[in-house]
Amino acid sequence: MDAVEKWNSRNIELIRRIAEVQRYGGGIVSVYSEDTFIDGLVKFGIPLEDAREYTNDGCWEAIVPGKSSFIYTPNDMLPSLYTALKMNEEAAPDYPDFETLYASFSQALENHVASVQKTLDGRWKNKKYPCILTSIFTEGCLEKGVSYQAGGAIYPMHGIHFGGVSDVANSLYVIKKLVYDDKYLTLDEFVDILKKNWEGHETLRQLIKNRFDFYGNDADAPDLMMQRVFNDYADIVGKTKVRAGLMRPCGISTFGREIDWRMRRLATPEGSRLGDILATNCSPTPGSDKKGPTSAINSYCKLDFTKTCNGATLELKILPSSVKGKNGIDALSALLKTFRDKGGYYMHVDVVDTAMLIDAQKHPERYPNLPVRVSGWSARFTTLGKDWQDMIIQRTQQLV
Amino acid sequence: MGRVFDIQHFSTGDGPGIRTTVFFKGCPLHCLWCHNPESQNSDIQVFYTPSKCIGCRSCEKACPPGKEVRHSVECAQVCPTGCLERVGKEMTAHEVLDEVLKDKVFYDNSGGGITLSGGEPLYQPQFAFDILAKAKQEGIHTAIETSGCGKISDYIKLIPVTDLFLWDIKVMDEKLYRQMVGGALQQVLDNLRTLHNQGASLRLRIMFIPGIQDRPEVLAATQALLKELNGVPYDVIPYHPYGNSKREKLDLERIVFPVPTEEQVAEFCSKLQLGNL
Repeated sequence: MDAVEKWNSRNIELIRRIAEVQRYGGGIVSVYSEDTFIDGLVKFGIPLEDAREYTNDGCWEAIVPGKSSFIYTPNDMLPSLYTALKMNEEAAPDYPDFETLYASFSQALENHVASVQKTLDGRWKNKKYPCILTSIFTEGCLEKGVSYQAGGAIYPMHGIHFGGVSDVANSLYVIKKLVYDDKYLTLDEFVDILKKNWEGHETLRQLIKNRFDFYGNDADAPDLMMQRVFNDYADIVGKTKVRAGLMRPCGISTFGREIDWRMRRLATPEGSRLGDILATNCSPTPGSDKKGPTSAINSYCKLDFTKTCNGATLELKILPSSVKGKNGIDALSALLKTFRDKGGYYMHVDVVDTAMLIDAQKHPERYPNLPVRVSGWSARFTTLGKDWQDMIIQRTQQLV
Repeated sequence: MGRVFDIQHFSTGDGPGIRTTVFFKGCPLHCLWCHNPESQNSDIQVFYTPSKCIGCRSCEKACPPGKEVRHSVECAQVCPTGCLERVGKEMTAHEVLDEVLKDKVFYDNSGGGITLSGGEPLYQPQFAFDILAKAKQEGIHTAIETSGCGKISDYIKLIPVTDLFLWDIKVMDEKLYRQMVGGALQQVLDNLRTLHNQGASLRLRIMFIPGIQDRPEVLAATQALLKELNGVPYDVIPYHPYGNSKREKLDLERIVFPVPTEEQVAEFCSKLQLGNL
C-alpha cells in the first residue's frame, strides 16, 4: 500500500514521517485528500457510509471496497480540439470569435463522450466467465446471482478517463490570446502553421513556449481556461452517471499513454510538435511550469475534484537539494498539508535529480535499484524502456 | 517602485519554512564569489546564452541604431528563445506583494514567509520597507538577507517590519574584505553590533572558501565575533562556482575558487564551534 489516505492536517507527526519517506526518493508514498474523495463519491451518488469506506482500485481511482467492480476506458481530449480546428480537413476553420470556436470544441468533445458512453452500454454483461472467487468476495454478486463480469457488484463502475486536458486548455488559451485578443495572426494562418508541424515557424513556436504563462504557474488567465475545460468535461461526462446498469465515473489520466499517443498527436497551439510527449495525467505540460511546486499545487487545486470522483493527479518532481535538512522536512510537510487543505485529489512526489536520471539512462549498471514514480505506481528506473525513461526525465521538474 | 531581478517561489534556503525570495537588483559591493553577478549592477542588463540561439536574427532587426546587437534590451524583448534575456524590471511594492501572497497558505503551514535578497536590499531601503510593511500587514513572516553594509539609520527603520536579519559574514579581515568584497568591514560590524544590542533577531551566514575564511587569523576573528555575539545562531555557507555560468552570460570573466569538500566544511564548522566554547 503506497498511498496514505486516512490522514488529516492535524496529524503533524504522520505528515512529517510521510515527508521523510518521500525525501528518501523512489516515489514510494503518494497522498490523497480524503475529504475530496468522500465528497466526490457522494456527489456521484454513493451513499455516505459506503463513500467513507473508500479505497483505491490500484492506481488512484476511488472505489468502494468489496462492493465495486471497476475498469476504465482511456481517451485523448486533443482530437476534439483538432476536429474544431479542422486540422484533418482541407477546409480552413472559420470562427468569428473565440466563443464560437470553443462551442465547436465542446460539441466535438460531447460527441466523443457520447460514443464512449454508447460503447459502455454493451459492457459488463459477460456471462461466459463466472470468476467465482472474485464474485464471492464482491457484494451483490451472490445476492443477485450475477457474476462479477456480468455486473453483479453493488457498484459496477466503468470509469471514463480523458488525458491531454492541460494541453487542450493551454492550446485554447494561446488561440484566444494570439488570434482573437491580440490579432497577431488569423486562425486559419495559425492552423496552417500547425498542419505543417511548425516548419518555417520555429520563431513563433519558441515565442509561444517561452512567453506564455501556462497552467501550472499559478497565473489567472491560463488557470481559468483550465478550470473551464475541466468543468465542461466533467459536466459532459456527468450527464450520464448511470446507464444500462453501469456507473460511469469521470476521471483525468494518461497513465503513460502520452508516450503511445505522441505519434498520433498533431502539433498543438501551445507549441508542441508531432511526437512531443505531453502532459502526464492532470499535471502541467512538461517544461511549461517554471515557478516551482507551490505554483503547480496552486494551479492544480483551483480545480474542483469532487466533480471527477475517478480522480486527476498531480506529479511533483523535486530536487533533493531543495528539501535537505530539517527545513526540507518542514517544507515538504507543508506541501502535503497545503495540497490537502486546498482540496487536491492525489499527488505523487518524486524527490529525484534529473541529472541522476540522465546518468542512470547512460549507465544503468550504476543504478540497479533507483526507483521512480511512474503513474500510480513506482518502478525501478533502469527496468523501464527508453520511451518511458525519456518520459520521466522530461516530466516537468519543479526546479528551484 | 524598485528594481528587482527575480521573485523565486519555494525557497527553502533563505530562512525558515517555505519562502518566496525577492531579489533586489543593485549592490554597493562586488564579492568575487557572488553567485548572482547580475545583482551587482543596478542597471537593466541582458543575459546572452548562445546555445539557445536559433538564428532567427530578430535581434538584429530590433536593435536600435547606435546600440550593440545582442546587448540591448530591445533585442532581448524580441528574442523568441530566451537566448537574450532581459534582467531586471521595475515593480511597485504592491505588485511584489501580489506575487508573494499567492503562497500564503504554504507560509502558514511551514513557518515560512518572504525574504528580501539580491543584490543588497538596503541599497533600495524605502522599497524594502514598503514591501515588508505590507507583508507584516498580511501576517507574513519577513526576513532580509543583507551584507550589512547599509546605513544604520535604514536598518533601524526596518527593525519593526523585519522578523529576521540574515547577516553575511563574508570575511573577517579588513584588507581581504576591501579586496574581495569592496567596502569597509568595520561598518558592517558596527551595524551588526548595533542591531544585536537593539534586540533584532539575527542569523549569521558565514562564507567558507578553503584557504580564505579558514586562515588562522581570519578564523580567530570569526570565532571571537561569535563569542562576542554569544548565542546568535549561524550557518556556514560553502562556496560554489555556479555564479560563473551567469558571469559568462554577462560577458564577464570567470572567477573560480576552490570548492570545499564535505570534510573541509565539517572541519570548518567544528573549529567555529570550538572557538565558541
